[in-house]
Amino acid sequence: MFELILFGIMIVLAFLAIETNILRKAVVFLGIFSLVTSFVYLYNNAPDVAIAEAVIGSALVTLLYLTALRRYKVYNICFTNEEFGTVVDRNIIEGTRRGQLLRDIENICLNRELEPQIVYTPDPLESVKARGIYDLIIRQEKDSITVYGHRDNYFVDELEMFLILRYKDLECSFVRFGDDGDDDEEQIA
Amino acid sequence: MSEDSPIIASITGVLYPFIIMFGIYIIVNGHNTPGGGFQGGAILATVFIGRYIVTPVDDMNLHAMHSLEKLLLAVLILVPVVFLFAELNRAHAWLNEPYLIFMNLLIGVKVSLGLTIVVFRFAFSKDR
Repeated sequence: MFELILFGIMIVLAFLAIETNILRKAVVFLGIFSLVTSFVYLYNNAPDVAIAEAVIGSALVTLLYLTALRRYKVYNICFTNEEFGTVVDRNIIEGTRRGQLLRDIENICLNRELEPQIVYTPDPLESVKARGIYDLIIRQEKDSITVYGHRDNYFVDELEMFLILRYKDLECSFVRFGDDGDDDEEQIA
Repeated sequence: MSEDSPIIASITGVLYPFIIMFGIYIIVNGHNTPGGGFQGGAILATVFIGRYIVTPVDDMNLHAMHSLEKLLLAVLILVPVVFLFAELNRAHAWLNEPYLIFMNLLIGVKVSLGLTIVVFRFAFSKDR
């Protein structure tokens, strides 16, 4: 009976961990799940395994996940337009298209639990890149858009797929840059 | 969780000695109670990793820790070879218990160093 209750709690916790939208909550649910699992091991006379499960599952892995979440929390986006101020926003890409694009990117970031920080600047691309703090640089020249993403960044691929599928008629190209400064043009949609 | 929460910092500060004591207890009594080198070492590693969660500073000499871990691996292989091939366990039966405790200690220190290095390398690696 006791074991059945523990199994029920485990199933509920596993569902909660999958269904929750906030990753930090999922991490906590997984930690409690591991603790209940270690109770089950203890109940089945395996104290050795129970200790290992409790230590690794609910302490080490939880801390590791929290570390990972801390690292991927803030996503810096820079929107640069060198003709800023001389060109009216409205003329650039038919109406509110640009605002829509940035809002979409923001929404993807929020879905992935990243906190998007968008910076607008009229500075030229080279000086923006030299600062080296942006994960994604979106550059606009008249009516074409270039997205600069770091080569090691896993999120850029996802964003690229999304933009290609969603904005088929937009002139949009993607460039990857590395730490050494060389660029490789990837695709023009 | 804020960057430097005083509640988490002081609570973990109080808990450190107990965690270390518990880890060493599990390692030293590993030969006749549940637990052993791996479990105790993992408990000791949570001290270092918990410290990273409280104050994320990169002031540990990971390179030296890595070297020490390699050295411990060599000792871990050498000690049983010397002890068992020389048949000391049959000649001196009283040596068995100290031998097991010593091996558990070696494994515990090695596991705690290894897990700490893994987490710290991950936490402070430069690539995105």
